Amino acid sequence: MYAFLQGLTLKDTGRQRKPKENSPLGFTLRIFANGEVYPSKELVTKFNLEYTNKNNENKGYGIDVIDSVDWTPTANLPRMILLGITPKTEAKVDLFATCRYDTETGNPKSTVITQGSTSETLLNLVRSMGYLTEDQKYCDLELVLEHPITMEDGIANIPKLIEKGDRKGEKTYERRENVTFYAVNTVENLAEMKTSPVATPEATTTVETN
Amino acid sequence: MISVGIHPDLVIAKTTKNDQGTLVVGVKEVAEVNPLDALNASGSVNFNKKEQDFLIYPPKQTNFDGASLDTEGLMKAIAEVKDPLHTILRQYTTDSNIKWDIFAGTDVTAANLAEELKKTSTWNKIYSNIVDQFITMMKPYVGETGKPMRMLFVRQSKAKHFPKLRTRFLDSNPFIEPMTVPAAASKLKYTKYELENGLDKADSVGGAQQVSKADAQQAEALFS
Repeated sequence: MYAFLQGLTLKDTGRQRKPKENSPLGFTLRIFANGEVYPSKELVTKFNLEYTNKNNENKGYGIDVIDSVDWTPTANLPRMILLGITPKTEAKVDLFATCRYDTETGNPKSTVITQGSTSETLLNLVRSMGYLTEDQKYCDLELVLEHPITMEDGIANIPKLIEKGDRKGEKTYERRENVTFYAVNTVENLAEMKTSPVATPEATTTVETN
Repeated sequence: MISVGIHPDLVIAKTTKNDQGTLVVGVKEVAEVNPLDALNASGSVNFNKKEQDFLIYPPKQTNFDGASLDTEGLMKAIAEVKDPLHTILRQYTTDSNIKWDIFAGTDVTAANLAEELKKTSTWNKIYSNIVDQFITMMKPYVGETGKPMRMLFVRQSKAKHFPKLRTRFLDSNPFIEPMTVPAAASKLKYTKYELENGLDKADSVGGAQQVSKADAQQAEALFS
């Protein structure tokens, strides 16, 4: 009994996240049913989402998640999920904003693709939009790159929820400057829209702020 | 007049200097009034738009007791003039377009800052730079009715009920935001300090004390 313990010496190598084959293809994000989100390699490269050394001034970009009906400039457009490509240094960036660093080298302990992010906001959105059903383990969201959305004056006050403290759950907003937003939909839906363009929601390249 | 409180649908209607060289920031209400609704409403009808001029006075080189401020105090005094103006500018344009050069035309350097800030000529030039640069940078946006703002005004002091712009900790406690921010998500709130000191109150109660008739009669009796 317990013969497997014979002669065993333990070595603590720290918590190791098992590398996952989570990375989707194309300019996409994969969101799992538990809210974990992983970007594709193409997306990481295109938008400089990778974590950099702690001492590097250029921290790269993360992603803000917006429900278009909650944001005044887009409230009257067909409902969509919008992703804003935002410097990681800004406050309350939803995805890929923070990581843990090696204390000696200052290098990130994992890549953005292996670490991923967890977003309750995005999970609730893909559920409510019907992109991720209870039967699915995950869905892949593709960015509509051909219709980037910018603000006329460069200023976007995007909706956020307070996540901690006494006011948890209350609405607030964060200011962003010169951020480009993209609509997302599932890879399957977008492929279908390409073959039947009538179903494509209208999108504008510039959003009026009033 | 616009009183102490949180007011929607305002625009910066004026940025100018008065004859003393003091910056005047004029704020005006732009909410559309439906004349039929207004005339059918109970009570008197007022079609006048509320407006208010705010005088942004030069910073002082002394504290409340009249003692000279140290260098850090002087810098803070300058910031309390500049920061609210910067906050207003940020509602209309991005940080990269807001360029201050408040020491322009002075001899201030990092090495002589402490000495130079004590000089009245330098001090006055810094204020005039802030005023002139703010007016120049605001020029495209003055009177812009297409981008109305929600603004919070605090009481000047316990004794003075006139409204003023908040001057400190503006990143966490802004006093202005665009109306595109839904009211439910607004960051315009009175701070604990302001609430505890009645700086959210527009009326004169708690300020210059009104003497009651009974107290006046009692006082008069003491000398009769």
